[in-house]
Amino acid sequence: MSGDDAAVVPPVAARRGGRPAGRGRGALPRAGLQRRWVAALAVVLLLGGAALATVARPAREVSATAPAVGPAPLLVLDASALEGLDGPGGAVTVRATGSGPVLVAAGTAADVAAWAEGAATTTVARTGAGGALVAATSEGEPQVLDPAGSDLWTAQAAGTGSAELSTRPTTGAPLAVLVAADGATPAPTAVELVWTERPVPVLAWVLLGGGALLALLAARGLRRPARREPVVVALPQTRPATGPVTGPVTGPVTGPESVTARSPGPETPAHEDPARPDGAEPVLLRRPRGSERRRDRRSLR
Amino acid sequence: MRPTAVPRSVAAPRSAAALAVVGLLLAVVGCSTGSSGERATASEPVPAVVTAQVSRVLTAVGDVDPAALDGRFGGAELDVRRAAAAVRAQVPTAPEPAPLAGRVLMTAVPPTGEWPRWFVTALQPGGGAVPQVVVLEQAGPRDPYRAVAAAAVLPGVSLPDLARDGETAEPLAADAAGLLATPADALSGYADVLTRGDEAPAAASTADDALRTQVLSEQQAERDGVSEFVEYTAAHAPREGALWSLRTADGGALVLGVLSGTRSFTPRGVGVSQTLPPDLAALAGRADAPDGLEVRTAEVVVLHVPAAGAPAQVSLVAGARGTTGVEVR
Repeated sequence: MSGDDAAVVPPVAARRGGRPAGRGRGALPRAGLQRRWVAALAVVLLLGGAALATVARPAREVSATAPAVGPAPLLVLDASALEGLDGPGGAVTVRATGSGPVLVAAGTAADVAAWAEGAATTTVARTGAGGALVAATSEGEPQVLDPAGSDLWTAQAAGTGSAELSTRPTTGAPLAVLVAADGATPAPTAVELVWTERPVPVLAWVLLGGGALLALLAARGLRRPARREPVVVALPQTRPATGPVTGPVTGPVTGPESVTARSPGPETPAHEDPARPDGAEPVLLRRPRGSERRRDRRSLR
Repeated sequence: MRPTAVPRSVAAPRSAAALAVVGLLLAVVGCSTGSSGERATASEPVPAVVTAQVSRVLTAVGDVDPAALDGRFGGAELDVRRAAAAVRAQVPTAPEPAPLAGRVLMTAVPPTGEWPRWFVTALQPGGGAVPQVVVLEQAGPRDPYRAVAAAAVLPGVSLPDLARDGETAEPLAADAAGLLATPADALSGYADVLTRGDEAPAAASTADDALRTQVLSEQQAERDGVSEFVEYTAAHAPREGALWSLRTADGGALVLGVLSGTRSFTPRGVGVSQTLPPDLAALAGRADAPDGLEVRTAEVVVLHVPAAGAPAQVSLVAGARGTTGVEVR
């Protein structure tokens, strides 16, 4: 009858609370366990997507070959040919192959240009961002000093037949690479640039999106009220402890636990039911949909 | 029991989870667009040489072939070492110039720019020797860096801290202002002091030091020894193209320069002939000088010039002296 009674929760009261009142605090209905799993899956997806997008990005090697041009003692890979291939600060490997001594040397773009001044030089540059490599040969001396060992180079690699150098800009100045044989013979023209690209894979975005969606669902689930039927509780009718069973009780039933869920109206005649001899309407205890079968210990009494 | 509102224990994890998700997504987006933190900022000046190049150069200077000194030595340093080699060929007991090798104590590299390029380094040779201040210069893009001046730090003196901008040191022009004396004036003033001693006008603003005392006393001793029969003059002047200046942290300047010294012996009267000591004889190619001779030396000096208005004098930090040649008339 009164709203404070714990036995019956009218439908209005049931929707107000986050849990059915009267249930023990900490009772985990079945919906809660599902939400836990959803949240855990969301975390896994988010972490996996984040890892794929940042540290665990798959790398793939990309190479480009410099176009071959006429014989010149020096071949210079311009700063534009080397920049931006693996993001700022990325390393580019330059491989040169030829017959005889091969030198691949790196220095600042200004230094390389200053060293090559006056000599016939093939300059390889990139036309626009992401454009193709183009080569152009300038006029000049056909023979120069051997550039190997010059103090201008920040790094160099020399070999016979082939040489390979990995460059990474260390200061703010743009880098350029010089390829030569020994200064007296034409520079090797089989020059290859190799770098690794690490694009963010589509799978990473899919994982992140799915994880975010699941996380939202799990968070919303905490707020969404459980759909439940009105809770009705079946209880035995109280009766005096002593005295014969006299028959249907005509007056209102007294006692704190014997309030019917139905609106009080004229008493409908009860069926003669041996389990419910007083003829009151049966009041059933029914759990909300979706809750666990396993009950919490502190169940309704 | 009344149905309760959403307990705080449910609301708190919910907002925390939302914040965590948002933060994670932002971090991922930020990382995946690439990071440019590895490159130095474009506003910092680019040094003429990086550490790897300095190491290569110093190694090459330390390992230079004695028969091809001009590959890694130049200027006054080459003259002094060539002369020392010539003397040692005749006088095996003559002292050998100190090798320019050892632990790098300090490197001062000006920003990259036109040629000739130079940088200064301080080396600590092993065995308790005093540190050496070395100036290395590259004449052109295809030339190697050559050691053109080297001086030993005076005992009890420490090199002043240099002003740095990132990886580079700040070079000064020969007529830089804001100092007690411009670098060129400081160098020529010191040359004057070595020539005239306390009579030089710059002597008042130049602190006393061991090199000055040694040079002046030697010159005085020579003068006293030969002046009866031989006219003796000694003069020092800054060498052309051998002046390098760097800003120090206290607003002053570190001035490195080379002075050319000439001591001439001219006999008075007829019949006066001079015999040369073994080392000068080795350089001159003969043992006597009937008509007089000139002895040339090179002094490498490193001066600390204080800022204008500072209560300090120009002081010598490192110095070296070597004979470069003898010309017999």
